[in-house]
Parts: sequence; structure tokens; C-alpha cells
Amino acid sequence: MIKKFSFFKFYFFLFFGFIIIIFGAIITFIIAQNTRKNITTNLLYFSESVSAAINPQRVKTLTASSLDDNNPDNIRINQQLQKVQTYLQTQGIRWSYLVFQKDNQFLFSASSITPDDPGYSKPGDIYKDPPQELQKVFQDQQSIISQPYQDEWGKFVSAFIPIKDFSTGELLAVIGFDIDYQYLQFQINRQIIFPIISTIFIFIFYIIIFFLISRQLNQTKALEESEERFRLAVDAAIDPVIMMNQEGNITLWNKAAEKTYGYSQKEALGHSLHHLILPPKKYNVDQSVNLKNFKQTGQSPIFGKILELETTNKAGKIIPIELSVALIKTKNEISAFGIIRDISIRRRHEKLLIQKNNILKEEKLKTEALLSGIGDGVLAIDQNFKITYANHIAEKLLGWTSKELIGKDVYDNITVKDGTNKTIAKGKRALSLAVKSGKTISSSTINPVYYVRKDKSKFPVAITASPINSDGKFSGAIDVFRDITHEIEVDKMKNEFISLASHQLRTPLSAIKWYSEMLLEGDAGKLDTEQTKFIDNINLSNQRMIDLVNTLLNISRIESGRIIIESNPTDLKELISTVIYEFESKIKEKKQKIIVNINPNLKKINCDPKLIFEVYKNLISNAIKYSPKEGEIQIFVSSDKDNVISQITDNGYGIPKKDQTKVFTKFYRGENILKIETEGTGLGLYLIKSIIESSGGKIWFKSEENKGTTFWFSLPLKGVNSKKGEVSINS
Amino acid sequence: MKLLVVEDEPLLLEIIGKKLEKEKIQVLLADSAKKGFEFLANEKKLPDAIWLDYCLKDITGLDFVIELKKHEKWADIPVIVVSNSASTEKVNSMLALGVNKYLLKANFRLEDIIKEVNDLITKNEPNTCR
Repeated sequence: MIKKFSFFKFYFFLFFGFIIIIFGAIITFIIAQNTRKNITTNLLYFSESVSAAINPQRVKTLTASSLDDNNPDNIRINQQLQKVQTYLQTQGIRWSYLVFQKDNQFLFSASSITPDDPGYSKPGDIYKDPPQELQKVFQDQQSIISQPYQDEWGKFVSAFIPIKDFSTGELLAVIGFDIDYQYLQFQINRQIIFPIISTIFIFIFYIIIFFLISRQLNQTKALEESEERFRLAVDAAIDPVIMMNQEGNITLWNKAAEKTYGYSQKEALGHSLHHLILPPKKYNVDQSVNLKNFKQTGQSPIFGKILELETTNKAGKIIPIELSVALIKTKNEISAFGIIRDISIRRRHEKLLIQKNNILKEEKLKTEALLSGIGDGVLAIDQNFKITYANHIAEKLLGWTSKELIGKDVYDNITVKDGTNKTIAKGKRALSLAVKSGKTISSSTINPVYYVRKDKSKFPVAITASPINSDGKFSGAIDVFRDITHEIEVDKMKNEFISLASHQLRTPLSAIKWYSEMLLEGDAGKLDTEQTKFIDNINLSNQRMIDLVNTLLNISRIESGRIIIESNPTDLKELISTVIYEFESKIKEKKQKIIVNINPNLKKINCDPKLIFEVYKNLISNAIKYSPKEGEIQIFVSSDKDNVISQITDNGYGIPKKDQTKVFTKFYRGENILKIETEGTGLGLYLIKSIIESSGGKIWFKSEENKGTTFWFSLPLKGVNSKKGEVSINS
Repeated sequence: MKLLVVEDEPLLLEIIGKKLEKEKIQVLLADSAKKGFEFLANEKKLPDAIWLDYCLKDITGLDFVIELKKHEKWADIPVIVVSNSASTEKVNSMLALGVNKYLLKANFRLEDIIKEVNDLITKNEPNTCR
């Protein structure tokens, strides 16, 4: 209704205003008319009364001419009229006068008008512009009140009364009574002032009332709109919004509340909030005390706080919530205004998180257990090179506790020194190199670095540092290290032993060698054939021993990585020639044929000539040894895109198929040749395989028993990098 | 030709001496570094070369060479080390000091060694200091 009102307000206003005015106008009009009527009716009455007093006999005698001047009847009537006039005056009647109709003309006769009055007309004067009612009276012979008319004396309203003869009823004359129209108007006006003013007042009053009502309605409208907005806002809220009055009953229950709790607004409003969503059995004591207090005092300890509660919805399901409560005071009442946040999802997430956390904790413990199980020290660092983990072996080795290490910069806290006690720069440490290259870096055990302990003592370590990348981004590194003091000792001992052993073994061998030499030269007297033969045999065996000692030494050095590779541009042809030269006598003895075929364009290749010499020596010596008399040995050297390939082929005893997998193992000697050729340590192939592979090459063979054997080996054309070791071959 | 041989292994010293004599080379046999220095000090004519073993009773061959090079008169005598032990370290350090050659005993016949000595002396190979 209000909406309609505001729309039509203007028209409404106009309409009713109009009505009031019309109404007022009508009343005014009616009053005016009434007044007029009264006055004219009065006029009529008075006029008739007065005319009744006029004796018609007298009137008969009148002529309406100058003759009447002296007519006593005329005079008398004049007197009568004049006498009455004083009273008539009070009724507003200005004058009265007789009018005769003669020959269609109206003539004045007696009147109340005195000659000094400007309106005086002599008897016999013609009424020049009479109103038509006068005419009508003469015709109808009835009294008439005229309409307002204008004649030469002014504007009047007149009553015309016929004077009739008593006996004949003949119209003798008409007596006219004039009221000044102005008087009439005045009287009317006097009467209508009141209604007009009343109307005006009413109208003003109407406007005021209208205005007030309008304002009131506007306020109501604004309030309703504001309420509407509030309601919309509240309903639009995702969270349940509720209000509770001092009685504990729900006064506001938004859509979200309906949804969350399953109670519709209708079911909720007016009901006790506590009974609805806070099941009594759980919150019995506390809430009812609070509620009681709230009822009485309008205060509550929960205002302005956020509570966590468990509420129940219509279906009985428990809904954990966060409730924030505010106090709202209006003039009349105190309400509690609450916003509810359903935290069941949050709770679920919290539970999940806790579960996940627990799993993570377990895994962390497992990992830590695993790491503790590693027999080496383990340090983990993050992307800022701060230590995040140190296992207990690391603690033991370094002398720091895990607590002291974690969070510290690994470079600042753990110093690394080289063999000369010089601190190694950050950038040269295995960790930095691993991180920079993105690869796992292992430190050398031959020239080890040293970690410095908390007490400033140092110990040699073998470090394996690996970077950790997660999602392709560097996120840390792991340093696994072990104390190699013992290893180094053992190695040192081994080397010392080897050195010593080699020296100790060789010394008597040298003595045998030289004394045999002297014997054979006849320095202790000439020898017969048999004696010579015996000493030769002694020499041979001695040489085998020397070779064995040399080979064993070489092998042990290769195995401990201590062999040097001194790379030089080497002419393989020369090496081969030298080898063949060395074996010349043997070849001649066995009447074997050597064919050498080397690519004439073969360039010098970067390799260690001493080592490669050994390779050729071994292979060629094998070919000679394991070929029968008059056998043929072919040597080819060629190159392809990347490598130089050497091939040594014989047509000798071959290697039995079942032994072919063992060919490169230590001390292997083919069963088939053991009986034929007793010489041979079985170490040669093992040694040269190590040499070739250290030089970046490969060695392979094919063989068939009693048909022959071919060995190939490759060396990279780009050459072999010199390798620093500690010993060279045969030293 | 005169040769100083410093070798502490008696068997070897003896046979080396015999061989050298046979080759008509004058030989001073020292079984210790001390003996060797004595010879150097006392002999009127200095040897043309020194045949030195690494492992000596009193000091190492290295120290002998160091000591040798300190004496102006002896520093230029070519030295050939004939030893049964040779790690690269030893070889390099010896060669750095100015030892002219380093041979492994067990790999060489006496004859070959003497040939090497001859070459050393006659060719007058300069000290190869590294």
C-alpha cells in the first residue's frame, strides 16, 4: 500500500486537495446562496408585509403624474413608505416605490424616496430601463424577486409586489422594494468569509497532515527498505546469522541458518535458540546460567568473543561451529546478534592435516633411522647451504652435536684442509662442485682432503657430495663422508709393503741374475755345455720370477689407482718394432713368420708409450708363445673415425670356448696350453686390459681352439689424458 | 775409467766389482754412504761416475745425492742410480736433484748397466735437472 501511495502521492495530494477546495467552494457557494436566499426571502416578506399595509383604494386614486403631487393619497403613501423605510433600511432595503404601467411604459409614483435623494423620481417619471421582472409582475400579477439588475440609479435586487384591488383583483400598481446589490453582496460576503477561511485552514491543515503522514510513511518506507536490505544482506550471507532476544528466543534466522540447521524460518522464529541448536544434555549447566543472566541483566560474558561450540542440526548431526556474538541495544530491547561459522570442514581438514603430519613425522623418523643406519657420516644442507641434518656418525666424526650444526652455514662451520694443511676454498670443495655441476662428486682417496673437527684436529675423509634438485630447482645437497684414516693407513702399509717386498724380492733376484750372468761369461771359469745349460735354466726361472714380481707390482698399483699415465705423442710403429726386436731370437727359434701391416698415414697418438709397449709386448709374446713352430703372426694397425685399432692374429692353439669368459681374469691360463707352454704368469692379459681401459680404449678377441686367436684393442684418436698417479709401470 | 759404486748389499757389491774389474774399469766399492763420501774425500782422482743404490744402510740415496751436490768438487760427477725400488716420487726427486739415470736392477744385466754408464760418461750427457 505504501508503495502505491508513494507513487500516486502527488496525484493523491492534488486530488484530495482539490476535493477539499471544491468542497469548501461548494459550501461557500451554498452559504452564499443561502444568504442570498434569506435576504431575498426577507425582502419578499417585508415587501409583502409593507405592501399589504398599502391601501389599494388609495392607490386607485393615483395617476402616476404630476397631478399626484398634491394628492393626499400620494402624500399618505409617501409618508407610509417613508416611515416604514427606517425599518426597512435595517434590512438593507434602500427604497420602495410604486410603479404604474401606462401604455407600455412604466411610470413612477409614490415612493419612500425624498426629493433630496438622487434616486428621487417625480411621479410620472418614466422608468426607462426597468428589469424584465417588472414586466413579468404586471403580466403574471404575482410577486417576484428580481435578479440583480442595473438601472440608472445603480445595481439592485428588487422585490416587485403587485397591488391589487380588493374587490376586483385588478392589478393597480406594483410596489418595488430595492436592495442595493452592494448590500446584498456585502451580506453574502460576510457570510462566506467564515467558510472560506475555514476551507483555507482546512486546506492548510490538510497539507500539514498530508506532509506529516507522507513523512511518516517515507520513514516507514525507509525503515522497511533498510530492513529489507538488512534482510537481503543477512540472507545473502554465507554464514548463518541469528538473533536472540532477551527471552532467549530467535528473532532472526537467515537462509544460511535454515540451510545449516535444517529448521525453516517459521520453525525457528520465536523458539528458544538453545533448544533448537544447543542440545540440553551437552550444554546444560553453562548455557542456562548464561541465558538467565542475559535475561536479567542483558549482559553476557560471551559478547565480543568468538566461541567454539558443537551444535546440533534438525537431523541430530553435530555441527562444530565458531560463534561470534555481539550485543545489540535498541530503545526497547537487548538482543544478542550472532554469526556462525561452520567449521566442520575446517575440522576435517585439521584432522587430515594432523594425519598427514603424523605420516610425515613417521617417514621422517624412518628416514632418520635409515640415515642413522648408514655407516658413514651424513650431512644434509638446504639451498642456502645451511646444515639441516647431521647423523650421529657425522656428529661423532666431527665432534659437534647435531644441535650445534643444524642451521649453521656448512662452509663456515666445517673447515676442509688439504694435505699441506691449507684450507680449501669454498668454491673448490666437493659440495660446491657438486652443486655447481649438478652431479655427484667424489673426493680422491689418494690425495684426500681433511675435515677439521670441533677440537681443531683433522682427519682424512672420502666425501661423496650430491646435489638435490626438486622440480629442477636446486634445493640442497647431501655430503656422505667417511673417515679414511684407517684406509689410508692400510693403503700406506700396503704400499710400503709392496715397496719393501718388491725391493726385498728383487734384491736376491738381482744377485741370482748377475751371478748367473758372470758364470755364463766364464768369470768363474769356463763352463761345459751341461753347466751352461743348467745356469741358463737358472736364469730363465729367475727371469720368470723377476717378471712375476714386476707384474704383481704393476697389478697392485693399477688396482690402487696409483699408476701414472704419461701421455706423449707416440709412434705405434716404433713400439711394435721394438717389441719384435726384443723377441727376435725367440721368433727365429720357433721359425715363426711375423707380418706387420701398419697404415702409413697413421699419425702419432697421445698415449703412454711405456704402458702401450707393455700391451704390444704382452700380445705379441702371447702370439709367439701360443703358436707352434712355423706359425704365422700378423700385426695390423689401422684407424677409423675415432680410434686406432691394433690387431694381433696368430694361427696357434687358440682359447677353448669354455675358458673364453675367463680370459682377462687374474692368473688365467688356458688348459690347453698349460701342458705345452709352462711359462706364463696368467697376469698379462689382466694387466693390459687395465692399461687399455685406463687409456680410454677397449680390448676384445676371437678365438677357436687349434685354429688361432685374434686380439684387437683400440686407443682413442683424441688421445689419452695424462693421469697423475704415484707410480709408473714396472717401477 | 773410474767408478764409485755405493751398494749396501754385499753379494751384489761383490759381483758388481768383479764385473767392472773384468771390464777393466777402476772401481771404488763402498758399502755405505759414509764409505762413499770417504772415498770421494780421500781419492786424489775423482771417479768419472757414481753407481748408486737407493736403499743404503745409513742414509737414503736421496740424501746421499743431496749431500753430494753440496760439495762443489763432487757436484758434477754424473750419478746413475741402480736400485730395486722405485716409486715415481723417488725417481722424480732423484732426477730433480740432477741424477742422470735411474735404472731398475732386476731389469738389467750387468753388462747393460755398464753400457749405460759408458754412454753416460762418454757422451757427457748433461745433468738433466727438472
